[in-house]
Amino acid sequence: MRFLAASLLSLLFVPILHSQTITLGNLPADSAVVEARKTLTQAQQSSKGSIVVSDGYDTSEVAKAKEILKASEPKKLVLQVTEFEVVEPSTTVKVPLLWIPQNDQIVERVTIKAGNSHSHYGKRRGEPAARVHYFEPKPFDWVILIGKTQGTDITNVVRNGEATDKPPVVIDRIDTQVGEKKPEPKPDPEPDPSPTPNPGPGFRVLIVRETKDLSGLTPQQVAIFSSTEVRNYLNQKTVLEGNQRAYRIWDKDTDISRENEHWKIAMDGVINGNKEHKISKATSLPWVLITNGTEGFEGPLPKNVDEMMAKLKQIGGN
Amino acid sequence: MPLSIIDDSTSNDVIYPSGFSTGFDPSQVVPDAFRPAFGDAPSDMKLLPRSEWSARIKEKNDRKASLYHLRQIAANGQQMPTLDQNGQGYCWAYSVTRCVMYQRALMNQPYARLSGHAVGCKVKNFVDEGGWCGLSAKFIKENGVPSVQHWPEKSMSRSNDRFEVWENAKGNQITEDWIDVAKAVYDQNLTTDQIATCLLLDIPVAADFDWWGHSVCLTELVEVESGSFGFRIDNSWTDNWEDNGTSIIRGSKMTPMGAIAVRAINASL
Repeated sequence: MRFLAASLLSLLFVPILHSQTITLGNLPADSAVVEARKTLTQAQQSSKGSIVVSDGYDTSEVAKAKEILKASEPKKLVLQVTEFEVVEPSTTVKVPLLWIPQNDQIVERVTIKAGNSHSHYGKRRGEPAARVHYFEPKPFDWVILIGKTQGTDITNVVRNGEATDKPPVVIDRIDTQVGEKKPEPKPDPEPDPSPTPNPGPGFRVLIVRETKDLSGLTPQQVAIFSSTEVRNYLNQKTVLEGNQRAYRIWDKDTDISRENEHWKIAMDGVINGNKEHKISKATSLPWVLITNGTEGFEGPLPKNVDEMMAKLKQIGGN
Repeated sequence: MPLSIIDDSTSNDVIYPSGFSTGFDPSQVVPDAFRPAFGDAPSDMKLLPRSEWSARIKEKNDRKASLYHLRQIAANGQQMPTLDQNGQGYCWAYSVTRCVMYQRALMNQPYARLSGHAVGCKVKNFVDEGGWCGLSAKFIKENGVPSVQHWPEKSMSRSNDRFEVWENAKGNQITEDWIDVAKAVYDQNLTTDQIATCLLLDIPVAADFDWWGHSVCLTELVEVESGSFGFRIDNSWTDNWEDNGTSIIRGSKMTPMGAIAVRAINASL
């Protein structure tokens, strides 16, 4: 008896903790669910608490009943914030599906159309870290669910009725629990601005970034690179080198072999460190190097345009 | 001033104006011919979710921080003039060339008007012929694109094809891009979300549109109405076309047949 009760309980809540595609559309008919419940309830009530063949139930019938009940429960999905999982229809689903979430702020849904390949950068449920996932084209529409904010959501997946006069049918449900986002590692402490990077005389600015990773920056940080306010200031304050103002925004792999020597020194200093010129190796990207020839700043990209402007004015003046 | 928008209701006067040519022609392509030459797979790109698009666009507009805003000051403090393919079928060369110009502006390399004709002529052996952005991207990745000081604007003269011209071009080589390496060059296709992600990160994208038979540079994701987005295109039909040479495509017109994001180029003086 205790064994069966435990088994029934496990059927009601089966969180899927590891990376595993969720398949929709296997929801059994209501009548089948009723029959399955009846089978298991009666089996549970048998005198010995075990399966008795002579009582009219054999093991395969009970096992089938368990499968039906399991399939009738909402799919349980546990994600951390930013984690994702793949959801695709079963082979029995031949029509477009309508997704009705209770709370669309908890989980983000990305639909991939049939025949399209797809790549997604992120941490899939159960994996140790974020990485690029490439998915081959599938012959049906499928979705990626991404934990967005902490909370729970039940999404009903609906298809049209068999005919225009038939009501829509809920073919499955996904019960999603999004956990608290794991704390980000603390950023390195901001370096002491006292070292004076000295790639050359005059007010100069170098920003080194990894363009491949720009998606990981905040919108406020991304705005720094093309901000009219920042550009106007730099165009006014940095020294002229020939007909060009002395600031650069480079990818870390930019080929700078055609640039002036002091820019090569600055770039090499950011990537590898340069004691002679007192340039510290960048501990993260994007990295900012500002100098006026006598004092300077080197450190991570500020949080927004205002903070960037404050840093610039600290070295370059108002 | 109302936005210039291209959608299903736009007249041919805008899409096919007299005196301007297109030139995107997938039928000219030899499938798989250049497959090994291309760069990073778009799977390297972390997509920005659609739920963030509106807020990111607002931040960019509030800060005047986009390729559109950068263009206003990119030519030594003045607006960077639109390119001109001169009524010939080299749009596919101009779209990628324009991306390189935007990257130069982002990196703050000196302003240089680059010669899309140099690329078109070399790829097509000086024949005025259609192509696709993958061809010009491959060429620019291998050879760069010279400035119009070295290969005069709109010139199809073979006398331009000199060693020193291509030495200058090397300063404008694409070093990092995003294309679909899994497919043949004629079939590269960044999805709408990938293009939107690039534009929100100020990465210019060259895109070929089958419905238009045209290839253009995309510079900005625009929220035309609440929840409705479009791409700002930077055409190669001079500043006289639409909004200083730009317009916004939306709806079904947004889906390209192929696209290449130009992420990084050489630094050069």
